[in-house]
Amino acid sequence: MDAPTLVVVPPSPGSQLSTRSKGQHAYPQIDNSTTAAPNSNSIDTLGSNSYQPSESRSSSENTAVNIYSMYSDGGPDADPRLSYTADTSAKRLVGRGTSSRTNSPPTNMGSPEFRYSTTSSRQNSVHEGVYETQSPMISATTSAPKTSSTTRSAASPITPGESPTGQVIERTGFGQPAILINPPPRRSSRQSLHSNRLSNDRDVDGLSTNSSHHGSSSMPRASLSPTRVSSDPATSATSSSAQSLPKAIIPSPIRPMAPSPGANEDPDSYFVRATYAAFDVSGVRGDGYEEGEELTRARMGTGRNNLPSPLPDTAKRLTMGPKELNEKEVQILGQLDRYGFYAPPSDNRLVLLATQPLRTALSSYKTASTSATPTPPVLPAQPPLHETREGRKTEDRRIAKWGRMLVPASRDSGTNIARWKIEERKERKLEERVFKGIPDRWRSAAWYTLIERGPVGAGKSRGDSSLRAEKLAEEYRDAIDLPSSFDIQIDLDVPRTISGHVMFKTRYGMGQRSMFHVLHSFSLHCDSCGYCQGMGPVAATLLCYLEPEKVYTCLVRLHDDYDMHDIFLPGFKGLLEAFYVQEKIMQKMLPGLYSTFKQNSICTTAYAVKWYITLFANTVPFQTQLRLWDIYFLEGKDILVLMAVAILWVFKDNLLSSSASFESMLNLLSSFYVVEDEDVLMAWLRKAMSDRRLRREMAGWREEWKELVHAGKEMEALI
Amino acid sequence: MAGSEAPPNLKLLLIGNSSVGKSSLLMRFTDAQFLPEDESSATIGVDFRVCKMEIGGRRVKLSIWDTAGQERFRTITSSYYRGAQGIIVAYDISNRETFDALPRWFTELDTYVTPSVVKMLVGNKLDKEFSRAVSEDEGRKFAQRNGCLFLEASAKTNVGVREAFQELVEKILDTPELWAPAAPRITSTATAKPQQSMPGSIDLSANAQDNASSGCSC
Repeated sequence: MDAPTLVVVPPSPGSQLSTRSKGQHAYPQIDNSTTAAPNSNSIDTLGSNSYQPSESRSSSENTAVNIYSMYSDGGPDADPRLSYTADTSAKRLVGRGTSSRTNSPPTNMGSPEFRYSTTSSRQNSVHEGVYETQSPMISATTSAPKTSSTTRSAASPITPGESPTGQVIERTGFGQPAILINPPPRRSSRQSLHSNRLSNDRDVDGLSTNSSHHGSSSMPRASLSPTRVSSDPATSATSSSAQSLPKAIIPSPIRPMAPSPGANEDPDSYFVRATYAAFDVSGVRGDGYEEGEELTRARMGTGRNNLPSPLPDTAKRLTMGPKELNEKEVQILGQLDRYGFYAPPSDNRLVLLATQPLRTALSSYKTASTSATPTPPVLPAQPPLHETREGRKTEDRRIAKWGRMLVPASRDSGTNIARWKIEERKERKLEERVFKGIPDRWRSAAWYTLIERGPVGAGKSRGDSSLRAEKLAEEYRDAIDLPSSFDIQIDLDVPRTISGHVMFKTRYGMGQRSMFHVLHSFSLHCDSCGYCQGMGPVAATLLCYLEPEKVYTCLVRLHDDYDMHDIFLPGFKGLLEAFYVQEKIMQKMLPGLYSTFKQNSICTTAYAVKWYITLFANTVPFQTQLRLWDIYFLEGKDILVLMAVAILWVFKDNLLSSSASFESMLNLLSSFYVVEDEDVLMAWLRKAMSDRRLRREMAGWREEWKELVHAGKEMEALI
Repeated sequence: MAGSEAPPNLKLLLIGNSSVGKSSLLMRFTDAQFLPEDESSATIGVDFRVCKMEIGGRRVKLSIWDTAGQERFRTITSSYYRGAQGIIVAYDISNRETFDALPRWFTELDTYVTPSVVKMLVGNKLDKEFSRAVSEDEGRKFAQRNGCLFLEASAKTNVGVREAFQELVEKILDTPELWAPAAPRITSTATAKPQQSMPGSIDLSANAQDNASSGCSC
């Protein structure tokens, strides 16, 4: 127990994944998984709730592949059987003129148009691959039923390929793409990888190009660029090959997809929006491993008139058609950790959040050992995730338990599980299991389900949540077409959010576009909140587990039901309330620290703003953040305050050290905390959360704060 | 006493529009490091870094506050102006808008800091010379008009960053009233460790005493 283990959720037992690397990376092997993910048979396996230890892989592990597959389309699963249901809704969407929006890859992944436009070249190619040429992909596809049939639980009557509108999350989260068992030759996966990536446009715009000649026909995308840019031939002169492409083949349906500028929309703002829209259609080369090119953040002169259009370049890329991943690319992608990170985000102020202090529950602490050093040891780097056999077994057990605890609540027209619920008899187990950490492959379903329920005790009646979800999804799509005054700021933040993650690595790649769209739409959701820096990491993390529409839905729920509204609001009243509660707890439990902070004017805004606004995303490693969010989605905002207190608790002796200074204290409080043992931290938090008296007091302090605000005396009440 | 004098502890503040490279300048200076776009992250609220430097054989401790650029955070960041001896206002030479926003930042400064505080205007991203949108001359003239130091720099290619901090600190050291409180009367305030006014409550009158020592820094 004392051995420091930094792994919370032990890497899943998916080491079968590493078929080629002797398990040195037990993590997503892009080439295998790529073919796997789009395989709608995985829907089946996921629908199946089944416990498949041999194949289990976390949903975030899948994020490595999501970028290619889950966002793009059904891939080989574009089973003709599926296209029917898809067909109608696609027409509906297109008819509503939102196609350019729904076209955004993420939206698409679960959305029907993909199947609708089976005329698309890419789809054709896939079909060819699967049904005619018997490419290795088919073996992947067909292997799915075998596996899943042996393991499928009664809870999932879905059969492979039945689910056209599969929830991507579920798809990637719960089931093991059968392909993993029987990885296809690399070649096919590469093909699908690229074809998926290149396909967005065709799936939606109905271009019937021949997949084997991805080139010239993709040119029409030029028409999607902001008109003022693309209309200028000079700007596209950089790409002669692109220019030579016949404009005549621009299909008419593509035109309405170019967003039109809003009445009073700032031209720069429009340029940003239009650029993302353009890349929605064209895709970006090397999505997931190349840097991509910056086109919108830098402005020249007073506007962006001189900027190159994204389109000529894009078109040029597309003319290259699918290419094989070279050895280097394969190697790069093989380095991803289980959560899809190339490398843990770097921070040069890593401090170990030691286990020892957490062995003592939160209580009144009066006798500080002032002999402690003012600064705990600094870590050179974030230790890599490592998995243990034991950890894997534990995770397997938990996966099985969660499979019995979460049951389908409703299904969509394709009998996919649309929503989940907690099995009533297991309800009493929920809290304990959440605190132990939701197994990563269940996180997607669990998070969405928990957020839909709202925090414990909130008790707000929110109507039929499925109706509400549908309405919100529509709101999301519609909002993408509207101008937002926050677009420029959002665009500034998108490429520097959740750094080092495969989904968000490539400029204007699918992940970045999803993030942009979600934040854009969310900025229009609440007039008073708009967009606040810090929403980005929240949206990005959710995007690792949920498709964009659902991420939007979740953000709205966090905003409404988890009181994030008050946190994001200009003036940050919810933030100040949290500070007040935190300081009250300090005053009670850590009086020495409280008075030291007070004496030194170490106010909470100096260090804790980002803690609360980003829900600790930029403060603790990803795996710790996930554990914390598990609890947050179940319990609500009190856990954030207690996590802040936990950090102070761990470092209380350092902060109270006789040689501590203002600088040393603030430096420590501005650090990035690598948690030595998440289980111990979560147990500490659980104990604090279950302290009824403390919770009552916290509620009381929140009321007290409101009164102080009312009386205009709130500022004096804070340190 | 002269030799063993404790190094002065100076408080600096970085402000400027979002994404002009405030945090990058700071990281380059304190850690000799530059994080590419996709590895950096937006500053939320305020960030704090400490750094030691030696100027003319004299050791100085710097506490540097880095602030979020988004307008919304100004309610939070503005309280960090208090007690600062030096302020770096950064803009992006390749982004005109960030330069055009400078008057607003200087209005903030007029509101929150005393005139004696040393200001330094830094045009960052000099590495983007090819897409320059603000000429060096414009930057310099603006700085002159507003009585502050000026430098162009690149956190990315490590040009001018150290110089910017160095010039700023030298200037502060040349203005003793900024960092050496005239009288130790402050001890009456029961503060164990005498700090200059640190960010805290919203009391904005705390620095009024400094007004006497105006003397524009430029």
